[in-house]
Amino acid sequence: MMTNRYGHLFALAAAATMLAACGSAPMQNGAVVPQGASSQSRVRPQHRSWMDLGLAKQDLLYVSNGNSEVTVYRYWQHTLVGVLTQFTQPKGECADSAGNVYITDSTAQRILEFAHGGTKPIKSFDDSPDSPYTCSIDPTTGNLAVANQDGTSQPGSIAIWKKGSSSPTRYTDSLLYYFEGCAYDANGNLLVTNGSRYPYGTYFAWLSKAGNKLINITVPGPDPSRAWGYVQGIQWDGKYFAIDDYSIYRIALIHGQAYYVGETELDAAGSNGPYWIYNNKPGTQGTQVVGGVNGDEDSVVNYWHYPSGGEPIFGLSHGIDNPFGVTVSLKQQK
Amino acid sequence: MKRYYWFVPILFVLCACGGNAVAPALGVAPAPHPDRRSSWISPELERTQAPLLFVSDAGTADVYIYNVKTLKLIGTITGFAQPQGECSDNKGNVWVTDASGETVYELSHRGHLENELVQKGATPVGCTWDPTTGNLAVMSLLGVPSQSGGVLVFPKGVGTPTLYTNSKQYFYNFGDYDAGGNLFFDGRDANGNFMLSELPKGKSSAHTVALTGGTIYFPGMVQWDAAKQDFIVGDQSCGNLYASCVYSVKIAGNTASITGETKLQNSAGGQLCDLVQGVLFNKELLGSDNDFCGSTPSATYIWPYPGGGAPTRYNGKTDSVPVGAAISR
Repeated sequence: MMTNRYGHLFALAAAATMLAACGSAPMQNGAVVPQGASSQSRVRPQHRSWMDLGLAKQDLLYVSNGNSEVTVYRYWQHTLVGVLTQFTQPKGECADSAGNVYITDSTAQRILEFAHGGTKPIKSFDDSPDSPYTCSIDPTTGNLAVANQDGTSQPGSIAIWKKGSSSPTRYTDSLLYYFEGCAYDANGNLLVTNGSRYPYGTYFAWLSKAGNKLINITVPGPDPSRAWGYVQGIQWDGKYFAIDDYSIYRIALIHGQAYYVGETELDAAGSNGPYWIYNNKPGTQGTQVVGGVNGDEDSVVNYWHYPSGGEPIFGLSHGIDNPFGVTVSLKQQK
Repeated sequence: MKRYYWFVPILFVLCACGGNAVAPALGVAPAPHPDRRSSWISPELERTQAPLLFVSDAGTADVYIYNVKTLKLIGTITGFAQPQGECSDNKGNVWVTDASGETVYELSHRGHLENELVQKGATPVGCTWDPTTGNLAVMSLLGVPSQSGGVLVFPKGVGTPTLYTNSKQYFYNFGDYDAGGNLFFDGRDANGNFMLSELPKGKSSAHTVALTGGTIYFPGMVQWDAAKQDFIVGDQSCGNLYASCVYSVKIAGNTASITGETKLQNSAGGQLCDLVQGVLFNKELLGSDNDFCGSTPSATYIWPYPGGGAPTRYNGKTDSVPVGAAISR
């Protein structure tokens, strides 16, 4: 925590110094960036959000950092192309098929929606009095589901905003109590978990597409004699649910029953937040997984092949500071 | 760094479940996860010669034993991991598939463990016993040999199985033998579309059977109806909704024709939410509704067949996530 605070102060000072000392060039949405600064040198966050132009045809990786900034990269080139600064504590992220990005801001009790490559939120979802932790978009409806930790209205909840709605419907569960993971499948069924907060056990529930309440569900792992230990999130990989518990475990959810499918072992893993599975072909299984790793000294966002896993194929450290949630906004087709 | 730790050993108490009734719980509240209770058998079960209904419950990881005539709960067998579909043989033994346990358990008429078939890598969810050979066919939803499922046939219900697949099928759910020993089983292809397949007696691979006369959206029970010389095939998404019904299906060559539909109601008169695998017995259909739709509590029902409609009897006090059903004579 101290590291984050000092890092943030240093970042503010650095940004102020740079702005004062250098000329500036206009950027998208009126943001500014020092003249002559290459993308690679724009490491430290600034007061205002900024984003390079011409990103519509780029897959973009968004990373929530512990210094309360969200850094944005060209997914394939790994270059920093922008920084979003409107957050107090950005956590989990998600994206929809149109490329819109949703970023939970835990202590601000809201979720901000950004267009692909945009610097200003196009919508703010008021989640008070709860603390949003992560999110998922229903591909069949565009509804936004948010997993809330306990916040000030104990217990936590799953909050769902119907597309176009300004207020959510909240679902609670006495067994899970709080929520740290949620993901929709291709049919609009939602799988949720309370994650791994000590000393409680890890539990799961699901909300069917037509359902009106969360239903507890037993999710088997690779060995029935062992229980989940460190669940950090749930994703939909295009074919199965993928549960992040150090490795990634694939689960088939069929009419309210979960079946174990397989494991993706990730070397050099260690995410503090949910992974994101890169998938640019709806209806097929994702091909890469991305996740933040907080090491003893350095923070990185690693890329792995999926579902094969193994050694990271790339480690992104430029501008990364205690990463948490990540998401990928796919390039725009039009 | 993350720590990776699995714990909570399961207390497997399936064996030694005979003896006197030991207590707990008629009408227990549904549990969200395995309840860790001990098995119990009532005095009625110890002495009865009457047909019994075995119902597997993946929510509690138990198998319930009911008096067929009254649907009174007279025994509970615990210690499973994820009990699924069931089948029975001519000795009155009941086979219970256990998906995450990767095992098929053989229980006696009184609920005693007779045998277990462990098949690592499999996901057993359905089974059927061939009266012409004594072989046991087990449908593995996934995982054999890679990610797609298959049918494992255990000769005489023991030993090492032989794997059979239809190359076009991905998920394998339920099946049954016809009078000639041909095995029919349902499931889905890799895109999630319903499939019906046949493994002809003596053949080494299965083929697709084309379905005509209607659409089945999600595979449910498959049972040979000897009286009508056709199959009962269930649809867990009847009308592409969260609703269940069963169809009469007549086989002719490589074609299966839907010749009738039986609608099933719950105790409130609404359409059944999810009948996973029922069983036909004495012109009645017995099975359970896993009611995740929220209209009624999950319950075990008996309906007239083929008439369907309102249940003639039901027990809504026990089930959590009921799945499979089998009759032990």
